[in-house]
Amino acid sequence: MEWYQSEILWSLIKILVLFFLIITGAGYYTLMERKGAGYFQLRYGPNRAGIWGIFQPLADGIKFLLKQETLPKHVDVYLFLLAPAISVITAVLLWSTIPFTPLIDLPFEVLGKSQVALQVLNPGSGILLLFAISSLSVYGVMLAGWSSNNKYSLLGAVRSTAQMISYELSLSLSIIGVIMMAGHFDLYRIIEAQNENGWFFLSVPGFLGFFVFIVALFAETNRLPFDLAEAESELVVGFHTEYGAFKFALFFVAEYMNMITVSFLTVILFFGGWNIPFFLRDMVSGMWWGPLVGVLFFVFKAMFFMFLFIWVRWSLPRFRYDQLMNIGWKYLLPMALIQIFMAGIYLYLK
Amino acid sequence: MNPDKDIKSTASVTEKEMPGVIKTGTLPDGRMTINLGPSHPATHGILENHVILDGEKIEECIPVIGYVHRTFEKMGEHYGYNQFLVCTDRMNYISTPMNNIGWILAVENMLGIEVPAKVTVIRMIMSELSRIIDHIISMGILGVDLGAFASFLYMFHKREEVYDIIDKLTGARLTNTFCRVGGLERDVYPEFVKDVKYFLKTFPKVLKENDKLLTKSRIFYERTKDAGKISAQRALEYGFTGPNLRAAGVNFDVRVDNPYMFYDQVKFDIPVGETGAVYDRFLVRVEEMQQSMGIIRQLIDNIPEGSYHADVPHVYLPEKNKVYTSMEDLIYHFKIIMQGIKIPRGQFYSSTEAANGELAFTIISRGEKSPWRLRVRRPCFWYYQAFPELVKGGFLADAIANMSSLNVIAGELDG
Repeated sequence: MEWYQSEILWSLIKILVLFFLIITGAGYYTLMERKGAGYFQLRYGPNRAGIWGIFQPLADGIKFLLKQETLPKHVDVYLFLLAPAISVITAVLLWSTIPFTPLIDLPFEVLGKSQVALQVLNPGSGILLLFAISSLSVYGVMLAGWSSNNKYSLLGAVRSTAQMISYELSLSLSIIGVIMMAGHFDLYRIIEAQNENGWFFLSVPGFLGFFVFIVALFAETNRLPFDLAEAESELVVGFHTEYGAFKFALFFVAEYMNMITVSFLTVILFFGGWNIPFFLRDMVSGMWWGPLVGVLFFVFKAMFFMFLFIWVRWSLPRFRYDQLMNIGWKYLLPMALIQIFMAGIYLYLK
Repeated sequence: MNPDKDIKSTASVTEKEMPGVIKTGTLPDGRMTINLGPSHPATHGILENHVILDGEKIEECIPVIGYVHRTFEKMGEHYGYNQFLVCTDRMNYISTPMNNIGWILAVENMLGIEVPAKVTVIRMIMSELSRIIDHIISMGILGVDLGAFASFLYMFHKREEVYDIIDKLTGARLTNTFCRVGGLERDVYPEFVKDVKYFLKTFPKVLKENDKLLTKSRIFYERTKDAGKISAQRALEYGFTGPNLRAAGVNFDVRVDNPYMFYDQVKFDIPVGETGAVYDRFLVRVEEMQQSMGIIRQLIDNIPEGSYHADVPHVYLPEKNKVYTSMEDLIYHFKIIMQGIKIPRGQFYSSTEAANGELAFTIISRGEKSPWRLRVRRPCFWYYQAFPELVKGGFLADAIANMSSLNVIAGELDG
């Protein structure tokens, strides 16, 4: 075996590339959000660091790194420090399960396979692992609120925990239709199934599932109109009131990482991943750069959802706590169940 | 009023005694207390509320007022009548011209001065413009507190235009000390009519956007339709006035019921709500802005020609260049500066409809250069007493919506 056939080497390369992508991605997503917010609100947004504020994320990062790290006296130190780490770790782990490219042919074999894809983890359980990791991310918020020893933080954490647990249920149920139609948990197979049968979004159960999924995602990522955990007008900033400097930056970055990941996930589950729509598909089939175009489409589709997060945030007011619970349990959950039932009928008719 | 006296905080419990206890100030029965203010993002000013929470629900709310109390009423007893104008600037500081006009009208009533029609028309236009900018703040902040930031900024752009008008007219943006006893400080600037007309032309568009973003938003409606309901009876008992009273269903407006300036000669409707809830207050304010624009439209083309002050040399300061050249003016200047405006003995009351409600001044004069006793009826102070009742039993988030939709201005509240 040659040195370049080593699995470790390839994994390391993939990890480095993807880690770099998510870090810069999250950085530039914050810029996109601020620019977007600026345009929504008739102002410019950041435009001082470089042209169009292109270096703003860099400047922000340096600022957060160089700020004085403060540790309030009344906190539970270990949990206080652990919480942002949990948030970031789960966010990065989530990212590692997303497949970005179809399998690309290699001129040599790595561990008996001659194909490779830009994905760090490819577990057989696929999407199940993804949801398992995403459930863990609530610990970051919860521990932050608990260990901060601050009433606003505590209220924020309690809200957030209740919210994430109730919406996790709808979120997981909403993709069962997709899994039934694809017949597999594996994200590759889900995309492949859409390559053959068209996007799941266009089928009836898929459409319903998508609706539940996207609403639950907003709750899951703590974004407006579900950003009760950090409702700044009520709870100052909720669970991270006591955090400053880089510890705050970790929460901040984790939120944006999560949003990027779930945008990609939405595309994978309902919009055919790197599937190229319509006539373009025939044009690129068989070309060596075909997969590249697919990846471009993948990113553009995901960027639409990333923009959707911004769009919704700056347009809608926030829900109240009881309304949030009502929507979760009384509307989304039954809809998700109906969607599973419909997926069954869909498969039976097929 | 201080709840800390009755509340035994568990903060004295050490971590060893009760491991894992979050040492926040909880009541002995386990309910949590939380402070909304004095420095809290939702209070928009220095207000303090001790809130006792049961979960997310508010069981008790104890407001503590007086953080920005500046003893304006006492100061009024030492200042001259024109000097106190500066204090009225700092009461409701988001619609300053209205406060100024309220005070000036009170003094002019006492002196029995008839100002030229031009002055009154300009004052009415400024009055309605400041009603609009006041409502912009109240509605916009309500949106911000509910998480909808955009419509606030859309409207704030237009508010800046009004501020530009005020700036050009008076020389200051916020504390503009508009008017003097007996007229205006200076003549209106040449493009005044054009500027106001431009605002009237463009503002309805922004209101329409606001309608789409907030009024017709399902989330906004669900959030606000039940928050802070109050019956007309109860509102009257608390002494509500202005938009908050009208939202509760009482058709009362000083401009109509006790007309001053030319309000009996312009046509406008008074919007009246039903439930007194946050949504009704919001709708009443939106409609009032439309009506205010209607009033300005009727006036802006009919500004009469004439002097910008009444011919009352013993009250109104003469022009500076005349002071140096003319004997009479020098004497009047000296007398006004040194002795102030003399007001006959007696008790006087005058009220105007400010943006938040009935703004009234009671002046007891002993014929000196300043009032012997001055009392200001600040609308905010009267309706803020209802705040604990409005938020009791509601959610924490509703309390915030209530505070911004009542339009509690700390400066006006504390006086």
